[in-house]
Amino acid sequence: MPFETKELYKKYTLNLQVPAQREGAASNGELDSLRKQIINESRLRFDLVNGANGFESKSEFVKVINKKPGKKQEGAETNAPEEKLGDYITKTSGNTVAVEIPDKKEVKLNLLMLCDNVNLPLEIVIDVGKDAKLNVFEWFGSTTTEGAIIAPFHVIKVGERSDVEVNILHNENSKTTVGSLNKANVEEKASLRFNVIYNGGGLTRTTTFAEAAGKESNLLVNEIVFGHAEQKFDVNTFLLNSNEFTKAMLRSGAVLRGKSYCILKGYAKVARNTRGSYSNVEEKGLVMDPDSRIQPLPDMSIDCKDVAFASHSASTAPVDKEALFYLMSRGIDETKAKRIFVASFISKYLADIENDIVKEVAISILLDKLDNDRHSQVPRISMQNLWIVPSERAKK
Amino acid sequence: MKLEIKDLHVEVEDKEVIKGITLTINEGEFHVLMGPNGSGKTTLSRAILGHTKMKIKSGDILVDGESILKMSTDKRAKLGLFLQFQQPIEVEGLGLLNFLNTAKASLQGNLSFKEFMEEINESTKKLHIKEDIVGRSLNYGFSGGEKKKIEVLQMELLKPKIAILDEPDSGLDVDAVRTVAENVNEFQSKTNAGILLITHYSRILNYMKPKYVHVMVDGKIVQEGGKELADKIEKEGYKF
Repeated sequence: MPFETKELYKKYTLNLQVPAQREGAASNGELDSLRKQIINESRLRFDLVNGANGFESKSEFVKVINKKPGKKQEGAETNAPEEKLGDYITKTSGNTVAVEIPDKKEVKLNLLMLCDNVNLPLEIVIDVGKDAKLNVFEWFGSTTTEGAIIAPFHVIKVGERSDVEVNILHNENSKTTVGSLNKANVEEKASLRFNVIYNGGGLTRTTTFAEAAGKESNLLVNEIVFGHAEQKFDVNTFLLNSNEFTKAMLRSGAVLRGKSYCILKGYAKVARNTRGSYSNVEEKGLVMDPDSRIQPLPDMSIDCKDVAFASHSASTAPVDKEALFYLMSRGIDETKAKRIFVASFISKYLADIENDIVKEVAISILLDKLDNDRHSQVPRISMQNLWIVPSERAKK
Repeated sequence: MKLEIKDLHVEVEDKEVIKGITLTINEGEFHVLMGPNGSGKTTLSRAILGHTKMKIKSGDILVDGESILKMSTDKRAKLGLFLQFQQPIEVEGLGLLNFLNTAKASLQGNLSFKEFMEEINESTKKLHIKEDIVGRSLNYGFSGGEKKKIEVLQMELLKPKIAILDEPDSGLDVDAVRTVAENVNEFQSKTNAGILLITHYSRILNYMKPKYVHVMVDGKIVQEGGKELADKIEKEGYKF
C-alpha cells in the first residue's frame, strides 16, 4: 500500500506504542461505574458488556469465545503497522467477540467495550449471511490511569444482498492508546456503511482495509475525527473496488482544536476489469485553533479503463469568517455561531448514519467536547442542537 | 429607530473604499443607494453591520444617537439592523429551519413551534418558495433566486427596524423581482421599518416607491434626489 512504502509518506506516521503492562495490573475498580453511567445516560440496552468480571453477552447473535488468558505484554512498538498490530492482537487477545447473523435475519446490536489499566486487544468477527440486515453500535471507553491500549481487530464479512451498518465510537480517556485494525469484505449486491467516530484516546492509529468485492456491492467508510488538547490521530483507510459496478466511498472529516494533530491517509484502488465502478475519496478538515494541525493525504490508483466515476480530494480551512459574519448578522453570538458551524460540519457525516441513537450519542459527546474542552465524558445524550439534514449524497 | 452614518471613511485591505459618506435613515423611510460596480455600496452595508474586514478609519455610525462602532455584529442585529446579503453563504449540514429558529430565538426569544411554523409557512407561500426547501441545508445547492427569496424570508421573520437590502434583484427573473419587491413593500407597510435598498438597476423600483435616491460613485455620494433620479440613471447611466 502506498502510504507504507512511499518514502514521501513515511514522515506522516505516528508510532504506536503498546504500553507495558505493570506486573499485576488489574481493574482499577472504575469500569463498573463507567458502564453504569453510559447505560444510564444513553438509555441503551447493550448486548455485550465487559467489566471487572470479563465479557458478558446478552444476545444469541453475539458469542464470546474465550481463547486463553491474555498474554502479558512487555512494552512494544508496533511501528510497522498492520501486520505487527494484527499479530499483537491475535496473540494476546484473551477473547474473540463473534457476531454471527444468519441468512435473512434482521438484527440490531449495541456493544460496550471498556478498558481500565489492563490492555484490551480484542478480535471482533462480524459474519453476516445472505439477505440479512445488521446494525451494530460499538462504544469504546476507558478508565485508564496508568496507560493502556484498546486494540480492536475487526474482521467483517457482508454476505450477498445483505445490508450492514457498523458504527464505532472511540471515547477513551487521554491516557489510552487506540490501535485498531479493520478488514471488511462486501459480497455481491451487498452494502456496508462503516462509520467511525474518533473522539477519545491520547494517540490513535487505525488502519482499515475495505473491499467492495462482489458485483454491484456498495461500500461507504465515514470517518469523523474530533481532536483537542494534544490528541493525535493517524487514520489510514484503504478502499478497493475489485468487481464490476461496485461503489466505494471514503469520507473523512476532522475538527481540530488546541494542539491536536491528525493525519488522514485515504487510498482507493480500482482494480482491473471493474467496469462501471465508482470510487471516491474525500477528506476535509476544520481547523479551529492556530496550533491545530491536519495533514490530509488522499491518493488513488485506477487500473480500469471504463470506471463510472473516480475522484479524490482534500480541503482544510479554519472557520469561515464570512459564514460567521452571516450567522452573527442574524443575532447569533460568536461562540454560538462557531458551535453551529462545527455542528454543521459534523452533521454532514452523521447524516449518512442510519442509526438515530448513534447520531444522538455522537453529537452529544462531540458538542460536550466543544463546549467544555474535555473528552471521554458521558454527557446527557440529547438530540438538541443536532443540525442534521438529509444527506445530499444519500439523495443521489 | 434612527441610523446615522457620519462622514464615514472605510478601508478594506489598506485601500480606502468609502471616502466620506453621510446618510441618515429613519424608521419608516425608504432609501435607495445606486451606483456602478465597485463604487463601495456593499462595503458600506457590511461596515454598518460591523464586518471585521471593513476598517473604519474615521467618522461614525450611530443608532438612536449612540455609536455602534464598538459593537459586535450580533449586537448590531439585536438593535434591529438587518443585512440582506448579495451573495448569501452556504452551510452544508446546517438545517435551514434550525438556523431560522436559532436566529429568531436570538433576536426575539423563543416562539412556540406552531407560531414559528405559521410565520415560515406564510412567508414561503407569499414568496412562492417550495415548502420542502426549509428541510434542506442553509442555501446549500439553492438557485440564485431561492437564495434571494430566503433572505427576504429572513427579513420578514426577524422583523428588523432598519433593513439593508444588498441587490435583492440581481439574478432574478422578472416575476421573481416583482415578488421580492411586493414582499418588501408589504413588510415595510406592516412594520414601518426603514429600508436601504442597494441596486444597480432601476428595474425593481418599477414596483416600489422609494422616497430618497442616493447615487454613490467611487466611495462618495455624488447626487441625491427622489425616484426621478433613478429614472434618469436608467436612461443616461452613471455620468456624473
